[in-house]
Amino acid sequence: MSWSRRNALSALATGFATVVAGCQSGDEVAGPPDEPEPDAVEPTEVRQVRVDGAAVLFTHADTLPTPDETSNRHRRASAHIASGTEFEEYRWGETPEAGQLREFVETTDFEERSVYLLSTVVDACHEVRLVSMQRDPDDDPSGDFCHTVRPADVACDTDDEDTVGFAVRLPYTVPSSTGHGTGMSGDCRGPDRPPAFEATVVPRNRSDGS
Amino acid sequence: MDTRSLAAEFEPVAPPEAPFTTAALTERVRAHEQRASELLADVPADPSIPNEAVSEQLGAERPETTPAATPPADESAMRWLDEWRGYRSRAATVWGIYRAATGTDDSSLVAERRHSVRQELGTVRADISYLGPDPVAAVVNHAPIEDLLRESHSAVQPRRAFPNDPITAPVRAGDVIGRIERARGALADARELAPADGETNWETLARSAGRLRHSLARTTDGLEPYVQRRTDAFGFELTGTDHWLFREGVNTLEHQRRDAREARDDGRYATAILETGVALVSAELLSAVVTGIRDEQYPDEPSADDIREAAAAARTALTDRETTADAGLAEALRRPAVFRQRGVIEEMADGYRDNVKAYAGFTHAAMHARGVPAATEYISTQVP
Repeated sequence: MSWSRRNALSALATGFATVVAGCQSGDEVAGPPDEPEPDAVEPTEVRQVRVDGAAVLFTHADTLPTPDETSNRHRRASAHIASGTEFEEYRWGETPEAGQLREFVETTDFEERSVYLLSTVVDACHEVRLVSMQRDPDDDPSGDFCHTVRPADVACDTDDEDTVGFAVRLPYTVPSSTGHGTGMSGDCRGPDRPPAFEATVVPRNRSDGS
Repeated sequence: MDTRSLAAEFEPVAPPEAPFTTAALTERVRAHEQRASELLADVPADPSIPNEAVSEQLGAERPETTPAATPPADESAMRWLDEWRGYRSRAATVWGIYRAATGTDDSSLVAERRHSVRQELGTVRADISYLGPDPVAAVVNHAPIEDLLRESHSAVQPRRAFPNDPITAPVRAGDVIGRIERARGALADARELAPADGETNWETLARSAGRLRHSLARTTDGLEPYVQRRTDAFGFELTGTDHWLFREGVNTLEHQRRDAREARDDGRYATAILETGVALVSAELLSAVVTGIRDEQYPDEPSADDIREAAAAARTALTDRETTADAGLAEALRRPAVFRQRGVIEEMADGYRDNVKAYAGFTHAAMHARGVPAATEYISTQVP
């Protein structure tokens, strides 16, 4: 059952629907609040890189900031690239890892795919994992990430910093990117919950099920 | 009205005594302390773990202080013992993090320990014979044992999986090991604290728990409209003290009935009998509240003097303890009222109980305490 259907049911049960729908006549039962939910989307391919130190992997600015200029503004960057023209608007870092991301984006078939990008600075003892990708009703992608400690045998100092980058190829494209979102959770433990049971039982007894 | 300052006039009544002797509890604490020391001794003060973040996590988990060395005089001695189980469990967590972080895969150890706790727990629960001088004494003595067995059962459940590659998730590995250690600690406490003398009372307790279910059903029968329909059953809106007394009365009865049913279904017969006894008191209390509301007994906006009067009534009812043969049972049945009286005073002092809730709380505690002697007598008769 989708989020909206479940909420519609509980809203009906509590009479909440009438409240959110505003002025309703006494007999009329308000429908569910009309808020489409983003759908999970399965990436076709993911490229992940890690670089020592705080670095800029890509930027939409005209020039690439030098490492000295890596201010807080550049510590996390994200993008959605849906065409070759959009790709041309980006500048890429000089590290081999930035090159890998650039190549990954460049070789994307924008007729059918688009790419979501994330770059973020982490302390050397932590890593970032991609949890899931979502596609909202406007086709804007959103990446869900989490932050976790690297294996105990990785020699690292929490005062050092690294930069991690993700390029996620999505199984759809849009004429031009209109926006995107990023979520970062403080740990990767997440609740171990099964997905909601979803079934459609026809509420009528007619033989044709209508 | 400022109930915060009024709270200073009232004093909580003494909590019940601990269900076990100080010597017995102290012996258990020493066992937990010893086990924790052994576990912590295996973890170097400055462990060489390459990943500094993991090293910091290990340091953060290491307990800085130990719980108190000697127990409090009253019932909170059970909480003291619980704190020591927690200390032992935390020591095991530290031990587990260290082992995982330094490359030991304890997955088979975890599986073995979990299995052995489950097996022993099953045996202890199956063999529990409720030894005691008489059935009522066995009820009182075994309710805390059942709590410990339940804690062990809960802690041994695999809430989180042991990591496949522990070096990548040492904290999770430690958490799993720590929880199993808690299960072991609680099981050992149950085994060692369970009374070892007297007659077997299992059959009497099991049968009585089943019989008392019907007593409760009959007692609450006339109250169902109030429990189901709540304030609609009165045909008029409840306000002020009426509203709070009724609300607390209904909620308490519902919780008590649920707890009694769960304990009975779970085969925790001592707990089931005590919870049923408390539920019977709660049912009588709700009847009294309904009558009181219909007879307009309660002030809508209680004054400071009304609250003083209710507090005095609660204190009198709670301290007027008859010394009967079943004093232990009476004490156990009175327990919720003792904690309610204490809670009301604390919540007043913290600003969470206004005049209405303070009056309702004291009145509820007083009524509960007044219902205890009859319930004690009834349970004693039904658990022969």
